[in-house]
Amino acid sequence: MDALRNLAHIIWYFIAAHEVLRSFVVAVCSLVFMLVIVLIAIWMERKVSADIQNRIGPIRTGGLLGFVLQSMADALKLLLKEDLRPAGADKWPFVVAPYLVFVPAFLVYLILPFSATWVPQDLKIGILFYSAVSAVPALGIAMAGWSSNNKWSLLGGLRAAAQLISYELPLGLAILAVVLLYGTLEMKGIVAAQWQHWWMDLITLPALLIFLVAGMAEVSRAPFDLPEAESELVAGFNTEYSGMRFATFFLAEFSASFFISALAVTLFVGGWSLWGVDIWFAQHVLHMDPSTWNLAAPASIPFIMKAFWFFVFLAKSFVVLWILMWLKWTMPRLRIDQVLNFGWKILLPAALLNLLLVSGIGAVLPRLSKPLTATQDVAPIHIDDSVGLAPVAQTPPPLPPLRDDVPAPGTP
Amino acid sequence: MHTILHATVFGVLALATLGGAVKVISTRSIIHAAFWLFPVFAGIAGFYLYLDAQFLAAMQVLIYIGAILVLIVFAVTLTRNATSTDEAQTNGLFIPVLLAALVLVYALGTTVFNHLWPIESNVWLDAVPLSAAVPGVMVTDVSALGLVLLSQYLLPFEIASVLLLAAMVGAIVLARKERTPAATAGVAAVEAAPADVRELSNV
Repeated sequence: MDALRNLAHIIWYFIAAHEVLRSFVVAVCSLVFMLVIVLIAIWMERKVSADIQNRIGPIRTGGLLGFVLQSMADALKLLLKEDLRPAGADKWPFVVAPYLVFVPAFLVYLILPFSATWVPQDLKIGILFYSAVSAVPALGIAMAGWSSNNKWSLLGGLRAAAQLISYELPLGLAILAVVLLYGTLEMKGIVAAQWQHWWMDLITLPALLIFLVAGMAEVSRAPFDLPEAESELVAGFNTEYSGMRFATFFLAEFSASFFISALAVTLFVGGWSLWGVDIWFAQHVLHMDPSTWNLAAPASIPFIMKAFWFFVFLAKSFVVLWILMWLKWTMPRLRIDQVLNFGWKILLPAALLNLLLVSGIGAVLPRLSKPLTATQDVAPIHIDDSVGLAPVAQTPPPLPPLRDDVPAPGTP
Repeated sequence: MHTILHATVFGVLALATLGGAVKVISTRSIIHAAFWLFPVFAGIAGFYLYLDAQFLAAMQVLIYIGAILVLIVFAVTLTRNATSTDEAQTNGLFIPVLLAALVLVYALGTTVFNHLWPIESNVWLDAVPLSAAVPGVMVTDVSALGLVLLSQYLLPFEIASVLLLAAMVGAIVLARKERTPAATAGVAAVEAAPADVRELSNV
């Protein structure tokens, strides 16, 4: 047992000391996490849709383990299918397109704060990274639609391009409201601010609604699933795709819809925090001392709390995902002109109005007087008259030293 | 180790950018030319990221790939002969374009060779203080960029905004069609149709 632990320590030191290796491990872990989430989300989708349509859903596989085995069976079926490429297809764009959709859908998990100190990579530009990377799939879908050499695919691809570009604006403006209010782009900082001041979530409630509607359009879920409207376009941009290439699109779609839910939770519903209940629980039930916790020093927070926050985050995300599925299976599909009219003439003005409202509130809001004792050391209130309301620290926490000569903090 | 790593990253990015650019002008299919712009833009974003300019890299991806490239692809798929590979690739402006390109090469070349690049110092990448504008703030800081844009460079910023607004209004004016009475009637008929369908489905 000791030998095993020593080996684990050696491996951990080796990984932590090499930046390239560490990035690789983080990437692989994110990929595995994403695949597991997608397996659960696919099963959930089948069960929720069945429930709403008064059916039972898949029951042949697995019994209690159905949520793992059913999706496994789905994935295996797709893997074993023949990978067809139409003779008239434009060869390399046809092959490249699925990756242009899949890679961004996986890359965005990099910035998601799963728990207080569990962020794969807390970038300085934070949420802006999502805005940038999520703009790439539109190109992939347009490419897929074009290269399939099929009129249904082309129509689907054109619809997707028009729809994604239109809804990026209200989505970005809803995110901007949050950034404006909390004065930071970093995901960690945004959640920490909500942890300290839970009522801030109420101010961003209209932004949450705008974000969810625009987000549903961004990931092309019903009622915005026009790019793949099966009753008019066969299967839209993925008509000609089969086997693993189709699975790649499918995976990207589910991954993106979970990510939209997780992002909505992170930006508007407090992320991993439980609006102060978690602190109360830790103090009175677990008899911990939250005043010693420091978000900048991961070792100061007990592991059990981090794990607890992780499950809070997952639970919240799945609730939002369930709401999105509920909407998907109860709403009729819109027409393309309705989608674009709604996006430009209702959602965009609403998002601009909301931005005005939030900046007004941010301007008149009394300076947040004093933070919870639990987080006093964590995020010193930094008031800068030129920036406006800035409840969280402007300077990022120092990065862990990862050079060859210094062991990473938190290592045993 | 690190030198090799840096050289490899730089080489891959340069290959993607320049190789993509060569393909953009050499490919015969106009839609392929648009697709080949992707490695060019992505490579430039990679360079920004490599220089620790994360904000600039995000903006590059967001604007050039997410908006401009998608719109180019969108427009090209709507043009006639988008699939054709027989279209002429030159339009008789060889000499003027060559002159313009030479002027650009001269301008960039003199800048690159005359500027004193502080390559030797290690602090170059992450700690150049913008002391003139915002004392004590690093270049890589997004908030510093915002402060500079809204204080020192306010006028150029506003002029750029007005220019973009003018372009947008111009595009709307060009794209807007005058509605004739007949066309309006046709639109009304189309708009009325779904209601009938809905009534039928309620039966």
